[in-house]
Amino acid sequence: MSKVEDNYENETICIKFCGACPTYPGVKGELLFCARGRSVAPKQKAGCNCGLCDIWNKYELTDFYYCIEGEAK
Amino acid sequence: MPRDIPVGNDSFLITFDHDYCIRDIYYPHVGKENHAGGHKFRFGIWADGRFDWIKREGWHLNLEYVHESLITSVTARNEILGVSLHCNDVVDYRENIYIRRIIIKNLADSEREFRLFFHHDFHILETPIGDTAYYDPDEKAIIHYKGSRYFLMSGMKNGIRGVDQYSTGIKEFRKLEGTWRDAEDGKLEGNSISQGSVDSTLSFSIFIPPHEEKTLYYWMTAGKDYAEVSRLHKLILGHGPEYFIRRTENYWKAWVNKEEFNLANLPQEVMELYKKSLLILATNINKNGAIIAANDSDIQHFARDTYSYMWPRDGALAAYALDKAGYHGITRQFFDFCLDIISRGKESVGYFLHKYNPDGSLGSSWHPWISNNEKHLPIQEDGTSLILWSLWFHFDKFRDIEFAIRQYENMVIRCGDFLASYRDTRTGLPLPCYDLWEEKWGIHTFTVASVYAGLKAAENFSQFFGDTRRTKIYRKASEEVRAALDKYLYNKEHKRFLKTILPRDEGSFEIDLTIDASIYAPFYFGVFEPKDERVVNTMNAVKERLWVKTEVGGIARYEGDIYHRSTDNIEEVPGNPWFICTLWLAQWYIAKAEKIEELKESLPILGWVTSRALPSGVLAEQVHPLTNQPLSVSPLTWSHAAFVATVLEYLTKLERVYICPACEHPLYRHERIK
Repeated sequence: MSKVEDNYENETICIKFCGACPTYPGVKGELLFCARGRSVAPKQKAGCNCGLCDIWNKYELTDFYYCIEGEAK
Repeated sequence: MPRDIPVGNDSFLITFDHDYCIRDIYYPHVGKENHAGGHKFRFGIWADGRFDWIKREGWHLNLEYVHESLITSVTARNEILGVSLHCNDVVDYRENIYIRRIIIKNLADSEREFRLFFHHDFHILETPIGDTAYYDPDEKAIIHYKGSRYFLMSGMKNGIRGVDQYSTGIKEFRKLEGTWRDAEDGKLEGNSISQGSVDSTLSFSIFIPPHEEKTLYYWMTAGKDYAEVSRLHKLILGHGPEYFIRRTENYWKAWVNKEEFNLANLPQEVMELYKKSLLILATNINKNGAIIAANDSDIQHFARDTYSYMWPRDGALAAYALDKAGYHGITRQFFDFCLDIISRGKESVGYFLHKYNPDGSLGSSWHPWISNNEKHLPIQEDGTSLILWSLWFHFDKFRDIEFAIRQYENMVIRCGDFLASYRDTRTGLPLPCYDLWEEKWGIHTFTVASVYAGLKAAENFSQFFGDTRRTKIYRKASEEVRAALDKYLYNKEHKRFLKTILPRDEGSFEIDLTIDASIYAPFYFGVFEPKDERVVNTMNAVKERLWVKTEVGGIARYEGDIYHRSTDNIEEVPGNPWFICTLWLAQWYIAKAEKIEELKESLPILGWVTSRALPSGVLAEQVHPLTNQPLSVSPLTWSHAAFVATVLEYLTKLERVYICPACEHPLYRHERIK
């Protein structure tokens, strides 16, 4: 279970950061990886916007690339 | 033909070749818009019906600088023409004015007329198409213009402005060579305007009694419109050219001596090259803080591109040297330049790309964004990490907190997060990228060591600003990188660090056993102590294998280096000697020294650098292993920065090891007590 709440408010924050991220897999419906877990699409690290995201600060996260590594624990 | 004796300010730079021809005129950025484009601006003289262009052949020509200033001191003597010249070239430290003062001495026993010719082969905005050159009777000057770029040339003799002869003409078209050919009979035809691919020549006539000398001034002003070049021209006329020469000489003398470092313990030639290096470094820095790698357009003939870019790595290392030398005003602008880049575009995720133009736009690149149908981040990661390393050094020395918090919030955390996360979760190593030589893709000792240093810098900043979450992230990442460097890049069988490893699909690594001078990095960036066995073994291997076994000596970049290769004798000449690589060995001697005798092991290398510099003090990128001629670009910012840094590291260490045996207080102070 992720420490990040899967809700509409977080999703609207996330879209501003993950949506603009070079690593964002771009699979329809996928977002808020820190809450929902990794993407189903193959990905390569190409920089990560998580550290700039308000959710990352709000939940005091300490990792990056949740779309690759999976949800925040 | 490499460049020498550059003179400039932060928006107008002029370089010369070995024949004392102007070859590059950069305006309005240092390094951007080369309006000469490497073409020769000839300088000639006529006397007694004979004519010659000043050059090495047939002349005793010596190109140097005035002591501790950014003014040239050029002497040229020709026995056949019976004349000697002493010239000083200066670009005003503030205004975009270039002045040449020429003292002409008549070596003959009779009074004679001398005619001096100044030729202009502009390619404004880097193309010969659409230029205009004309004689302006209001200004008594030749003006070249295209669009919003204007250059005005005129001069003065005996206190009177204006030129005696002029001509404009067509060049590089239907076998027309230009007006410089017209000058060779001592007379100019007086064609008053030309358009298209054009050049111009102007001339002054002066009568000089036997064995006497007279002074003449020639100048060029640069601006974005007629009003600007005219204003600068009138400024020279109003104040007189000597005013600008004197004030610029004074300014650079004050600039280079502002810190009053105690340099007395250095050999004289090292002390002199230290100051010359600072001044030459200053010529390669743009007004917006961009530190340009080199401004020698001659390299275009080799690579169809130039070094007139801000490479983040070169810039960071130069900023470190400048900060060590006390020039925090320049480096703050440099870090702001970097901050501007990292705040936009692809870079906003926390990495710097290959290189940048002097105006901050993205520079040309040969690194692909895709490889084997997969996205492939085309970075040299050391370019990102060294910016942080250098920024922390800056802040730790100057403690300019208002500046630093802006840098922390907008650059350090972006780059720190990137360095911490752009790693292989299995090994802890940074992911592959291009090496510092921009040649190889893989995981490189130099890059990994620099990533460690960048993460430590980010950790230091976050700790300073109380950002405990990020402190933990960066600390954990740096520890993992350090352990991974030891585990994967130190080779126990060969007892040294490896240049590069490349991950294979099944999880093993392909290793590159080439000995490369850049494997010095683990000690320099603080990953391991300089006396650590792994470092000692590595540096001994570098010294043994990469020292060039000719009379020229020096350390090559790596075994089998083909860049500007000058001999196939790889055993004795593994590559051409590079100034930076040779200085890395000196930096190791300095870093590991615990006694003054050990520290002095570095002095022969500093002496080697001074003996391989041009008489002006200019350091190229490399030198020919057999002839000591400069190779590749000159001056190279990184060569001068490495020399400045090494000298200051020497002096800092001297303060620590040169101590009173009784009271253990230093017997030497690096900074004079004011």
